[in-house]
Amino acid sequence: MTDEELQRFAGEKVRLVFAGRELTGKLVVGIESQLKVQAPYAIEWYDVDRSLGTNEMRLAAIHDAGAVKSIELLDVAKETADEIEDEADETQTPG
Amino acid sequence: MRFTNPIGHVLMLTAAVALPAACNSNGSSSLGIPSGVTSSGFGSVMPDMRHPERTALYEYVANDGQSSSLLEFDYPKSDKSIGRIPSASGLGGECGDVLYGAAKRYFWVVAFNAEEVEEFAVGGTNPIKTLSVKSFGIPLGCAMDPGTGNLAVTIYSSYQVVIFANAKGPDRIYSTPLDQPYYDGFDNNGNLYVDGLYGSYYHALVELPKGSSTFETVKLTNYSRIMNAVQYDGKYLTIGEEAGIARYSCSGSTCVRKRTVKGVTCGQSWIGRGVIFCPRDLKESVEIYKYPAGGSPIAMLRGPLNDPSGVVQVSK
Repeated sequence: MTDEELQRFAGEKVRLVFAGRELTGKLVVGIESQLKVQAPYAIEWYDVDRSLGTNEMRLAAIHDAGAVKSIELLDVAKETADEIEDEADETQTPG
Repeated sequence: MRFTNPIGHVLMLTAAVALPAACNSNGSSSLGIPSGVTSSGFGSVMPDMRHPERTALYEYVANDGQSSSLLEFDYPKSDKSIGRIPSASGLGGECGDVLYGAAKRYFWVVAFNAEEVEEFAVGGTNPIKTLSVKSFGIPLGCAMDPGTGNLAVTIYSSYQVVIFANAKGPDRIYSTPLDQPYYDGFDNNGNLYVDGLYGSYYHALVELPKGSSTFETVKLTNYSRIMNAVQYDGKYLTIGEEAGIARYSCSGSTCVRKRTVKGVTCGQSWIGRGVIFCPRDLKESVEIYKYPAGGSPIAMLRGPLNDPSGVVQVSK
């Protein structure tokens, strides 16, 4: 992926594959990324462990646009609906 | 703190940090590495008892927009905060009336939420002067020319730099070739260098030669994917880059990278005498490294700090 291609997703919620991982979150660029992770790009994602009840924000530095193998823009409305549905499923008592 | 940048994204920015300096018995500033500090010495910073005057330091660190305050440190006497100055709102870069080392009693802090720069005196609790840049946009970095006292402020939300004559005014606005100017610094000849974004993702360095009213693009022998603080270190022009602090020898409109102080990566750092102060956003601390050796930090100032983004060293 080139800088130009990655830049189109600046500030957007995306799903991307880089360094062998698939991460979902906001693509951070520019001075914000520079100050936080000293890299031109970062993805802000949430490490959710429902068994522990934790939901921690993490930032993964992306030092080179070429390291991003694929990226797609997420449908935020659909993601939110899916999350609500998942939570509803988990909170329902069987029977 | 948050502000909306010109391209419509909410930008999370940090605070500023101001550190200060040593002031010895004859009034000149000197901050050396105390003998008790080791390369593995987080939290083990010892005062230099052989030179008690060296411990008469004041250092200031700004916290994030949640608290909108500057934290004060007296490193190397201690790595704990010794005070807090409330007032500034949404803090960015900081600067003083020296190219490097300890500023003399006064220092400036960029308050980007308020779209102004504020001057403080060591030991003070309120700004002693405020210069507004509201008519230009959101400021991020500042630098002062010790020869003229002119204060140059980068306007992150535009392509401009404002220079306040003698840090008072009248202000004069300069257009740069950059789309988003980040940080700036003067060299020992009064030339002003500014880095930032050129286009959407390329970084560039531009120069306003002393006496000129036109910024020129500087040819760099090496390209970095990020550019942070710009500061003259007494010998070289330095730029905070991805691999560390890059030291450039500049002549005309060309700067040649001579060496890199590896390991030191941060936002608006400040080069003291023999050390460099490096605010680390996610680490919520200011790391201190030997300069120009770099390597591993020799101390860490914690505060607590929340997203520090600027620092300056000031003598009493």
